[in-house]
Amino acid sequence: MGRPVPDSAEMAQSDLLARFARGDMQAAEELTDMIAPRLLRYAARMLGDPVEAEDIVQETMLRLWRLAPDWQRGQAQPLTWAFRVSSNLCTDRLRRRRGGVPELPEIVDTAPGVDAALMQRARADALEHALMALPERQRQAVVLRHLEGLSNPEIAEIMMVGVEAVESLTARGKRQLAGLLRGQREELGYDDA
Amino acid sequence: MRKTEQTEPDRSLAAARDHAPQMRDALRQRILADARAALPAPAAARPALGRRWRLEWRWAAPGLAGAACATLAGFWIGAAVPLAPDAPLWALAALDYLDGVALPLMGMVDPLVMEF
Repeated sequence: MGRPVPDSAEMAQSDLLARFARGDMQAAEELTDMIAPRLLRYAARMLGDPVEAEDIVQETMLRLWRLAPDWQRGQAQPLTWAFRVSSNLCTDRLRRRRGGVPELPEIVDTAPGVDAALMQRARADALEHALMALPERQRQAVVLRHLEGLSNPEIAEIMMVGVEAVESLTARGKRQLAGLLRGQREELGYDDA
Repeated sequence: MRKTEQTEPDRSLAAARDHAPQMRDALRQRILADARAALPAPAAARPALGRRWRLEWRWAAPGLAGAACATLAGFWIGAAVPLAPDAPLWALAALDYLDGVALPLMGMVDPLVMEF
């Protein structure tokens, strides 16, 4: 499958980057608000560490600013490019961690009658922990697809694999998540499912 | 079991989307500070193109002026040579223009005192 057709949001990002290259700081602010929060969510879930995730986001955005004057419009989309750079930076960090074993999920509150908000929080925490137990490529695919809402062709471009590989990674990742969460069905209020 | 396998990750993913990490303003400010530092120099801070050219090439001005004068003089000599009777009309017109308009404007009526 070929490169995904750029939508208007991605075209807008390219325009903003071109404006920034001409010295427009307002464009930099808009671009930051469009891209950086998504990178932060992604990096935090890949690394399980919000402080390291911030470093990744800052480094990625810095590279984007430096590249802006030479940005080839139409050859890459800023968001996709930024996700790819963040992915590589996350991979580097994960490789540097030696023998880092993810902790088992902690359940916030197991008492009956816990309110819905706390239950949602507990489910979110359990998922974050379960994600950290996935192999890196599966985690990457699941986060990009199911948490960031990117399309399979976009993910394929970021991960530099085929669309079929993305589908396989996502499916296997979800199956493994289900297995990891199965042991906490009662605590997470999934018994009614 | 199959239903549970399908719904547990989906519900947890939905919960995770609702509790996504938020970007702190301090990070935003750091990113924008980097952007300012990486910003290309504003155009207003640099002299205009014509002025830059004059500044950078002013050392060559006397030489260029001399070359221009020599070129004009050469052209005038060539054009002022008596024309053959069958000279083309455009050559006569060019000579008339040179004698009547261009050279008086430059203050050169007969620069080489050839008294044609």
